[in-house]
Amino acid sequence: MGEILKTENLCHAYLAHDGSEVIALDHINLTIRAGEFVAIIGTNGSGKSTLAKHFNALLLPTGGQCLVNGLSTSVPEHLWQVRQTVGMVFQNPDNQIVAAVVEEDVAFGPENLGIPPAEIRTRVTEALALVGMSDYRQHGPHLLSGGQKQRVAIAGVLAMRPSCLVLDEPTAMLDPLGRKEVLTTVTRLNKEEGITVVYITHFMEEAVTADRVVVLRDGRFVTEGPPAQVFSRVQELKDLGLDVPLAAEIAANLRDAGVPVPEGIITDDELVVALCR
Amino acid sequence: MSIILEAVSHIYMAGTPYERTALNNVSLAVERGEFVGIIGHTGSGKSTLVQHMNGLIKPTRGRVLVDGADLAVKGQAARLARRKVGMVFQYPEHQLFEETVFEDVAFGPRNLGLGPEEVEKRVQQSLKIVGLDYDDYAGRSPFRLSGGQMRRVAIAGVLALEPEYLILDEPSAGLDPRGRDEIFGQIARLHRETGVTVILISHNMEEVARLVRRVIVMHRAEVSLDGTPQEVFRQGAEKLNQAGVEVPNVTALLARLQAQGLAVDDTAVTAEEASRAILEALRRRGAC
Repeated sequence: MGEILKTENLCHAYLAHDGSEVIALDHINLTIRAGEFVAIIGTNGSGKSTLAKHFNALLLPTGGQCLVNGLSTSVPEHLWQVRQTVGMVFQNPDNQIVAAVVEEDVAFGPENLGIPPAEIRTRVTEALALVGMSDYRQHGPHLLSGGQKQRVAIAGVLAMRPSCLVLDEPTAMLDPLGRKEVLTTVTRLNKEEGITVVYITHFMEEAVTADRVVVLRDGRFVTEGPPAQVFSRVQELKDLGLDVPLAAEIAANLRDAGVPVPEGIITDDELVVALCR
Repeated sequence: MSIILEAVSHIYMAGTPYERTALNNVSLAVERGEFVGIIGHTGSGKSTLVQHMNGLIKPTRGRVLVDGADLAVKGQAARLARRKVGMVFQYPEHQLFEETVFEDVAFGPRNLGLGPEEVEKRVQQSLKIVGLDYDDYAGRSPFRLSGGQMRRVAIAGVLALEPEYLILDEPSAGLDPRGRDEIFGQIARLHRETGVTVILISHNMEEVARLVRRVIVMHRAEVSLDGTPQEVFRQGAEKLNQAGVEVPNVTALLARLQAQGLAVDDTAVTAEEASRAILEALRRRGAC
């Protein structure tokens, strides 16, 4: 599989209220391969959301370029293809739901693509099944929990059959159970349906499940790598104002105290095995 | 001096197909000066519970007393009592509306009928508590601030009312780790320095375990557990599970180590404390 998303020296600048230029993204070079699950972490203002919005041309580069399946987002003729390839899910489920019945909400995207009604029905059925919300087809979205609403929002994107999902803090407004529902759904879409996932989050226990973690700071690329590698750099991440998984932090503390704990421990399971063997 | 709920029940949309009991016969007392955490699954009744505490919602049955005044009885006593209870809602930054930070924070105290000097003093104090520099921020538009800063301005607006009881409904939701640590740090300091009673709703079990001295667990419109964080998180595992609440990561990890035969002290609430406890356990075991 090839490269689905690629940024080449991507820059984004905008004017602040006092007229000065703010550089939100500063020469970002990033390649995301089809089928990958990539987590992007960084504090507020690190450029995560700005980057996400470039992936489906909600924002356009002010320098460099952003390629979706090799198509530059800066070319207006590419817009439809770019947006059909990359579907976005945002933080607040209430801002993303437009209809009064779940199935109508999921149908909204394909309807706007001009897809025939019979095909739309198939897609809605499929999409709701993929997020585990088939039983709620006729429900009013306002009576659903946060996690359920967010899954409906994801279904609405899936009904457009994107090959890549970009999720910008999809669990920030959810309770722990809702968070789990959404992460499980997204992980399954990635593993079983082969959908490329770009997942922006402040919750490190979610980032741990990704294939690769990208760290941003002040609009610049800091580091990337498999979670075990990135989260082993405990002090560095803390200095950036980020959390580290508890197991990684304790493993680092123990190592500092002279206990021979193996490198790359980031989950409770790994730590328990290392300490109780 | 306390907030007392006496057998309070609340039913939403009574008599309709959507009728739902949000609080079922809840009795509890929060004493002046306490720092209480309220946890529970979405829909468990947490927000309904705290909204009774300043009279925003009236009980279908039962009574709510703030410093002895029944909030449901119309009159001066209830009005004064309600003023003692400041409420910071979820996403309070959505309620910002003024053109400058100063005006927004000053709105509440002005409505209390305070004079300009007192209003200014309160705005200065409140911004200081939430860590925003008065000279730098007072004249700025609240809508030009970052999410975390907006949240702090909104909290300052409630602090400016100088409530004796401060209720915060998920004050860290949606903030990044640094913003979250700052807000919780400021709340803890405020409690320590002024002795204000704090009632905190949070999904963040780490913070609850670290900050509060009493945890109330809500489940299906009732109080299912009420005790110190240690009692609730270490001994209430079964009930917490039922309530759909996760124990803090630290507690869960230490419990698993114990289950696997490492004799570790499980009272730690922070990663540092847990590391020390594990280290001691390993030394006792002598294997390392």
